[in-house]
Amino acid sequence: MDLLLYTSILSYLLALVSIHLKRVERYFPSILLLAWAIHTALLVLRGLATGHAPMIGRYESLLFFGWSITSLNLFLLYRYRFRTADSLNILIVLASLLFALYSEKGIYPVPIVLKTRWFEVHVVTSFFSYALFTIAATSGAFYLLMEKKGPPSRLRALQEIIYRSALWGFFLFSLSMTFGAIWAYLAWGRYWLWEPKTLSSMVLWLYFAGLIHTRFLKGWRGRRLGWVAVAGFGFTLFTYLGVSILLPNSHRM
Amino acid sequence: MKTFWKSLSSLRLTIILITLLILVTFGGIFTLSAYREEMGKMDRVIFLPWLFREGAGETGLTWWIFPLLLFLSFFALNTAICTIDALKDILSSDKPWRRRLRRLVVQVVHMSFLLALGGHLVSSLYGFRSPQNYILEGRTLEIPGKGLTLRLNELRVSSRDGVLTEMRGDISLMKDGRVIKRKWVSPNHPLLYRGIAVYLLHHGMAPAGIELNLSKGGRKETISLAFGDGAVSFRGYRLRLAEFLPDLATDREGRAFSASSEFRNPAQRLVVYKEGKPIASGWLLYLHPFGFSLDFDGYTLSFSRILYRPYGVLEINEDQGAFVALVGTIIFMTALSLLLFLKGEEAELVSQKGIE
Repeated sequence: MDLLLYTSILSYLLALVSIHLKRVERYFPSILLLAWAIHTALLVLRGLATGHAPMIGRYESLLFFGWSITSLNLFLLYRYRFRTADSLNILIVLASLLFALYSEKGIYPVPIVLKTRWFEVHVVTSFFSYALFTIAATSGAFYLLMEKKGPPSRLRALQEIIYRSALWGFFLFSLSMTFGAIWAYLAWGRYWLWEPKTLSSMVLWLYFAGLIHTRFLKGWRGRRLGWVAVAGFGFTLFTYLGVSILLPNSHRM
Repeated sequence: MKTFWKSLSSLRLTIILITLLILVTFGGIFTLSAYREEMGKMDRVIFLPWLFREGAGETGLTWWIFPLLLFLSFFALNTAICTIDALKDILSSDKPWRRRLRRLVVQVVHMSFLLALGGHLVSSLYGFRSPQNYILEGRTLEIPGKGLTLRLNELRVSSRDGVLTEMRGDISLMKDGRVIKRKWVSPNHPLLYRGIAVYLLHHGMAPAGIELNLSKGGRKETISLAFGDGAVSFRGYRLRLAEFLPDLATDREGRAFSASSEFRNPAQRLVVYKEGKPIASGWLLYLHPFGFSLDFDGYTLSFSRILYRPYGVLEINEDQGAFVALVGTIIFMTALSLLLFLKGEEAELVSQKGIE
């Protein structure tokens, strides 16, 4: 399993290098696809080894988070036919894999409260929304870098990516909170818990609700939208990792 | 009045309120982390009555909740007024419905958000929470004020490598002695009945009685005596659990009494009867049970072991707004999913310009 993780890291590094080498740049989508395939194999094997969807604990969730980002990055490559914030996305995926490498990898029996489909759909929608918020942030950062020299059509497309990622992310995050609430009601008898993870999820939800609404305000496009999207990554990381690692809560990792 | 209304429906106000809500919630996150034990009770009570009855006196812990509720109320008001304005605009517009549809769906999102929030408000005001109900297997438990009784028929628990792999209880819900619902309750599978939900959250083993050895001339048999039942008959005798003292001591005359109400030296007096008359009695000291011995008619009674029985810890809740909150959320998610695919953003942008 570790060998696959190392191979995955290596292939992402290769993809990152290929972006910046003119001679091999055209192979970048294929290399990224290869890295994604290895990453997928790693998740599948982990799932087979543990007997459950690989999303429990810090190690698995980091693998899944990185995988969600690459999946969306590949979709963007296919959809827009031009390179967006690929380097930034790969750097975040690499960071998540390296963090996973140093996280506890043991296989333990699943607590019975997690043996429900509600848990699985809650986690899948959560991580895809985190990945979408990340894509919005990296696109925002890319927009800020390109603002002076980029062609207007490309800048418009980047703004669209930021907005669409935030909107889809908001939709999936709302869905995730709904599934989480139903699960909490069935498991603990309350659909709302007064604890840090729930409150930080509320903060993230409000933040992206705000971001979506700023689209209809004058002066909140372009540069400002870029900065708001970048700041959204801070809120995403705080909700996903910050609260889970630093503060006592129901989603301790 | 018009300016006031317009400023209440302003999108800028929405952003300001969201910012304030985020700031206050951050205060809440760190307060909850710092006072985890104290704040834990917020999940075990009906929130708003608790907040105004007890929470108001603990401002060190609840300082952030009051501004949170205030900003949330303004946020709801802002959403409602914004929606009313937009609906008036949409309905009076002469554009084809196809072009108005997206804006209409946006208002459905807003209204369903308010509906879900309203459901949550009802849940925070009414209903009840009854956590930590210990019930022994085979025993019953009253649900206060509902005329309903629960019975834990059977509890099944198993674990592997120290991790619980199965915990489920066969629970009957009864009214006037008649079973009206029966279900195997386990984590994620509560018993639901007309807004009342019964959860099995924990389990354990509790002392339920004692087992004694009865011997005479080399022959041995065991006698079980359940706490609560208090008596058992054997070979023409009757053995009864008499008084229980938490801290057994004796006075100058040798009479037993409890030196305190704490369980420092818990003891139980056992009495043997023959033809209705007591013929022998003795104290069983629970901290030193094997020292117990009672002789009568050639028989000897001695302690064998404590009998344990499984118990479940049930939580019984009634959430009166949960259904409304769920309906609001389902409509919210459906309308939001439509927005992902509906076209017409530019039309919306043009008409929204007038607001600011």
